[in-house]
Amino acid sequence: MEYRSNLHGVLQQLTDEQISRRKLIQRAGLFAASATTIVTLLAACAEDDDEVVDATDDDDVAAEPETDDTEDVEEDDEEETDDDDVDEEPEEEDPEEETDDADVDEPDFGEGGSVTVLWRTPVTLNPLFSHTGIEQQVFRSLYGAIMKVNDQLESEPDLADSVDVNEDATQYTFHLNENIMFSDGEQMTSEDVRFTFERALIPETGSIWRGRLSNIVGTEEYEGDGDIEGIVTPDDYTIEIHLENPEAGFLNNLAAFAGFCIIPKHVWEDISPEDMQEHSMSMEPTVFAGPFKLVQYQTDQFLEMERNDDWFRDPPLLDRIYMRILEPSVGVAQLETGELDIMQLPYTEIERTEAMDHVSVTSIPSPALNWMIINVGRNERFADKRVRQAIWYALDREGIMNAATLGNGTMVNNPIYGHGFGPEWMGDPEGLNDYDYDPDRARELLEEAGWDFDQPMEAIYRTSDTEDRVTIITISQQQWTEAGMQTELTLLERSEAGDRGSEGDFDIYQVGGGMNGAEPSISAVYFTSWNFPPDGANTGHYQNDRVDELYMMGQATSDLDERREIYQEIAQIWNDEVPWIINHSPNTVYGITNRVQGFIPSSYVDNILWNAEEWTVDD
Amino acid sequence: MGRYILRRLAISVPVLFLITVALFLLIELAPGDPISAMIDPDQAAVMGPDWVETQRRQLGLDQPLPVRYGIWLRETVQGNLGYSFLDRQPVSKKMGERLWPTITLMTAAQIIALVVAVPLGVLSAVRQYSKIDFSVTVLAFLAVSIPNFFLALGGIYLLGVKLGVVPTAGMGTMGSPAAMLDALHHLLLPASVLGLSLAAPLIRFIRSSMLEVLHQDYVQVARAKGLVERAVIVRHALRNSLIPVVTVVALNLPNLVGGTVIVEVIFAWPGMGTLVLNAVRALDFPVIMATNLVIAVAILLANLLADVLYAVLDPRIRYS
Repeated sequence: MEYRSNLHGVLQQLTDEQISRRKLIQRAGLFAASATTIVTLLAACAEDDDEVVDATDDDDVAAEPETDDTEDVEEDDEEETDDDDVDEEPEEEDPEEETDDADVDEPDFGEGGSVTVLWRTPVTLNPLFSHTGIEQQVFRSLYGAIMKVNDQLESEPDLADSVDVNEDATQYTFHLNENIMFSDGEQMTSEDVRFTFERALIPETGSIWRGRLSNIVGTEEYEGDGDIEGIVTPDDYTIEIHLENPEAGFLNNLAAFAGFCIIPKHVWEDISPEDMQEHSMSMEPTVFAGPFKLVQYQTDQFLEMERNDDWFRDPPLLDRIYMRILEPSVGVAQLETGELDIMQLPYTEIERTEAMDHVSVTSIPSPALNWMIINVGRNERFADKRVRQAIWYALDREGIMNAATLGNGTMVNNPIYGHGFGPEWMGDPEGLNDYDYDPDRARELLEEAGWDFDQPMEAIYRTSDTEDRVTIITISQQQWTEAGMQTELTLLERSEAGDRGSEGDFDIYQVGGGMNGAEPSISAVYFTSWNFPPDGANTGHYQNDRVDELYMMGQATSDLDERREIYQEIAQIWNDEVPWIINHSPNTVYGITNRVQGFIPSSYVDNILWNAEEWTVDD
Repeated sequence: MGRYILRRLAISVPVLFLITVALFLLIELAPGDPISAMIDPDQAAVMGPDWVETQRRQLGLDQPLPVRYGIWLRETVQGNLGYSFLDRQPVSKKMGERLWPTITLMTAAQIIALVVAVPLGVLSAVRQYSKIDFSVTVLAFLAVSIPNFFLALGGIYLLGVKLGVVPTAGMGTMGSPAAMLDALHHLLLPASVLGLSLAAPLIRFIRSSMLEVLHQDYVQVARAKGLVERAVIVRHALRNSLIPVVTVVALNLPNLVGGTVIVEVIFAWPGMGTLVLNAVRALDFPVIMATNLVIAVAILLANLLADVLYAVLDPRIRYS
């Protein structure tokens, strides 16, 4: 009895509790379910909201319905091709058949279609502040640039119809096209150009352009009031730029960062220089004068731009371009499904992409150089040029290039001509040493120079270095050590490496970058004595009076014969003195689906859209 | 109970304060400074010597550390999270854009994890040492040991590229207006990948919790009452074994706002994980501080919630 009542009590207790607990759990479950629904709904709503924040809402009301139609057509196409895949051939891909089917089902409406390009997350959409090549890919297409860069890195007029240069390269006269309309209907005049220059030059703006343009007369004193002496606008379509010192490479300078883009004065003039970067228009610009207009930027997902029908030249043939933010490995998968049309391929993905029937792979020389700075000026061990030559001889540079780029590279023996780009007048310097692999010669030179074989040298590289650069420095370490130069590698965070670089606290410092322009004078910032850090990028403190003099002479004349002799001599001195180690120039490799026509691969990926207005698609 | 919650909340305030002080010091101790992390020192030199100075002045980096912390604290208390060092956009806007995608993804993943883990865990416990138990255990171990990114890339290749049943990446079809079905379609693969890796430890947890409960007296009692096995397991054993599971799930909640870097990046999912990673790389003080503050608050609240839930679900536990 006692036992029974006890058991009963326990059971009673249990049931009581269970009821309350059951209710609780039921309610919790209900709450969880409703919470999910609410979350999903909210997410969907949030997307709708974004859709409404449409950068081009105000203009082109007539064009809107048309573009909406295209969107629908595209969506249908995609869904259908997906279905085809599942129903018919789950194993094998046959892209041609897919597109054929799509053609039959959805007749071509004569629309220009769209192209999707692989992209990465941009930092800003304001050309005055961009410091990564990622956003520079789209600036010229959206804003239009005074000078744009072509696939061979040459500077070409874009918004300007023509440019006149005086004999000693101190005055440049730009003739602006007279029919340029901003997308809000205002006309672009020389005032907009002057305004953009002024904003770029006011220190408070913090623009990346200020350093590049500081040669313009009156910029040092300019504080934002009145006019800059060196920028003169005699009429609505003429801009004269007067330079303090001769600068034959000025046009190329203006084509840096993928081109000096013009922002509309009437939109920006009421916003003070220091507030410009914080302004929402820096992330969501609204007024454009380029071949395309921004439709929307979806954070971390994609940027959509559409044809600007009011562009002053023949309107682009495409309806729209999507810049899609993806990991390269996923990009390759999307290239295979046809969701992505153009991407820069990592070397390791080339083989896989070449196997796709509907994708072509192009590997072209690029202006990028894989270089390491030798501490010439601040470390006596490297002051003797024989030591630096030995550093070159000790490396099997061609073997390293093959390991790092799987054969997609070009050997280089100087940075002035070696990047492979330059106008024809530059010619080809003679008598340059290729420093073919010769470890015995390296050892000889080291002995002659009295090298201390017991004291190791330190090569620093960075956590931000790409895989191919890690390959280069790892093999280099091995080969230097074999040739008698014991080498220790130090891996540093980029900012820390930068600090040690500018303090001169290193032996060898792997940097790598490029000479992104078809103009030999751009290398001056690395090799002249007035460019020691923090004033410039001569991190190795290399100093040669003749080189200084030659670089100065090269800017002071626009006579091409004179300039040829000057830069050939610089290349010869450089090749003999080797203040850097340059292993090779890595190629730029693109994967392009065959439906895209008219794509001319740019040697420099930051310039990938340089002729996007001429692209078409063949579906 | 109410007093207990209030006391816990009151303790949270100094804890949060200490967290922000420690964070500020930690970021300051990191090598380099935000300017050189943002742009190659090499390139900065090309932009002219005063560019770096202007940037430092604009970002307030020329002020001493205590002053900067003081300003940050004053503004944050007033609800102003400041501007990102990197793109100078308001931090609240940057977080706002990414919070919902992350919450959507992580909630879906958590639900998938529960839906997979509860039945498998129970089955595995009820049929202990059977073939089912063995397969579930092996499966769980596999899911735990396969890294997220591998599952993600494998899923993209198999389901996205070869079979074409799910989109390979993104939150919606580009160029088409946002639609519920499209959004769910895009959510499927990333949520499943995350859900699977969340489910694996849960399966193991539910299995052991269930085994423990199955050996309790009251389960014997239920059986002795002559209840069908199904009722014994579902009504008596499962409910009780879920109590500790609720705690584990509650402690997972901070991930809902914290996000997950790798899966977000692979699926081009614009979430908090990516934002935090980029901020840390760029030593973007305001963004690091704000995101960590949000995550810290979430962790404190989730812990409190776990404790409270525990007390509510298990009457043996009382707080005072």
